[in-house]
Amino acid sequence: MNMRINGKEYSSDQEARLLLVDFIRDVAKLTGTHIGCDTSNCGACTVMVDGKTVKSCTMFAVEAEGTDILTVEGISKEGESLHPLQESFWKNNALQCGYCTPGMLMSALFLLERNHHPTTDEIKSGIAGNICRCTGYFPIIRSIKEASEKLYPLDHDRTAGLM
Amino acid sequence: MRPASFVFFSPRKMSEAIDLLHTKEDSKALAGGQTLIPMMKLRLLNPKYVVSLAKIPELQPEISHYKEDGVETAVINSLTTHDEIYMSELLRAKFPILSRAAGVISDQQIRNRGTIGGNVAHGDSLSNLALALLVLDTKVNVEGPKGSRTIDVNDLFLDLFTTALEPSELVRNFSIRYESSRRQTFLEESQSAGTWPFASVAVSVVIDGESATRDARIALGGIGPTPLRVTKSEKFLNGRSLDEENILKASLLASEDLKPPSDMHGSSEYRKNLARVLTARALQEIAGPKNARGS
Repeated sequence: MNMRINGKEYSSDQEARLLLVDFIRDVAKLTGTHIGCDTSNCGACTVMVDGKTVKSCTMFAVEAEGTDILTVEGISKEGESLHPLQESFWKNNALQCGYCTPGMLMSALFLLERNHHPTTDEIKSGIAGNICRCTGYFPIIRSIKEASEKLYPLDHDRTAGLM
Repeated sequence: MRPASFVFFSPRKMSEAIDLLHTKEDSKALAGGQTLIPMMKLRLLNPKYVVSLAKIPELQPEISHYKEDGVETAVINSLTTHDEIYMSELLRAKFPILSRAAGVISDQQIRNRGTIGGNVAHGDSLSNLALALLVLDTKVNVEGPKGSRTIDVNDLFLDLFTTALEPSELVRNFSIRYESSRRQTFLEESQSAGTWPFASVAVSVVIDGESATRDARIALGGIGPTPLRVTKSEKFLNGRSLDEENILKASLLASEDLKPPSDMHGSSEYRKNLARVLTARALQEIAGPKNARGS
């Protein structure tokens, strides 16, 4: 099996039944991606495969042959310690135990790439596949909103009067 | 929870995939895997051979359309994902019911991976896309060891998780005839975002000049072994206008013969009532604000 994770090539002989999440954690040794429910519900294992979020517990590693994978370890730019989303999660206390955070960040990243300025409802639907049992979601929603403003500053002239 | 061992094939040709499914006993076709993989992890299914469809050119995600003798037809290839259906400008304009049904399937990650072919071939009574396709003019184009054939979507769902597809037949694509005057909507009720609905409804009707309904189609999900059309209610609506009284009668007719299952999420009576309420709401939405009053 060959795939690129966070820009680095990985190659390994593995059984066909190996799940992508196990390849990421056990073969590539990138343990930022978590296994939560292991039943396709909680979203803790969310990664991007060729730019789209997937639950890596619900995909065989062999299906990711030749793809580009992005995990939480790869979201901040080089030389930057935290991605703006990570920073705003930190600032807003959008995590307590932190177990859901890697998956939550990947879903938030996908959402913001597609929709630079989501409404609260759009954020809720964007993270519907990620379960957090600590925060009650409000700090997470706030963080995503805040990060969207930082990542994609609004054109103030155009929106003047609307805000 | 890891699946049992299996041998994995990723054929580059449709004929090769069909041949593998036909000759290898205990083989399964893998599309998006969002149902198959969880079932394999729970060891509800332990196929010896898994045949991935991902590399087959004819099945690649694509939504196209063509015009022939003035009739417009959209073609959705089997491996098109729910997210691609939801995002398609063409479908939003011509078949809004498909975007709406696809956009509320489970969650974003599942929609990024799950495919229309896999979803419909699985034959779940609660398949949003199956319901939407049932109220459109849909032909299912399949290919198998004996060649290709076309199945009308109304003949596809036979029983619980059982379709008219032969074990080694594959859905190649869905072709859907466009009718500009067909109004359509899809509604579902679920416990929370991302969970399976208790029940769902797809409705489409053509409304002629005098506001009379023609060729009404109503399909219900989650209330029987398969997604099903409620013909008694459809027949009643044909030729009548979508006023409050007719909507009430039609929704009662749609639900009166139903015997939905009971489970921990909802009783049979609850689902039956939900089928009536959802049918009424869908018809009200189609009738438009002029006729519709909240239920």
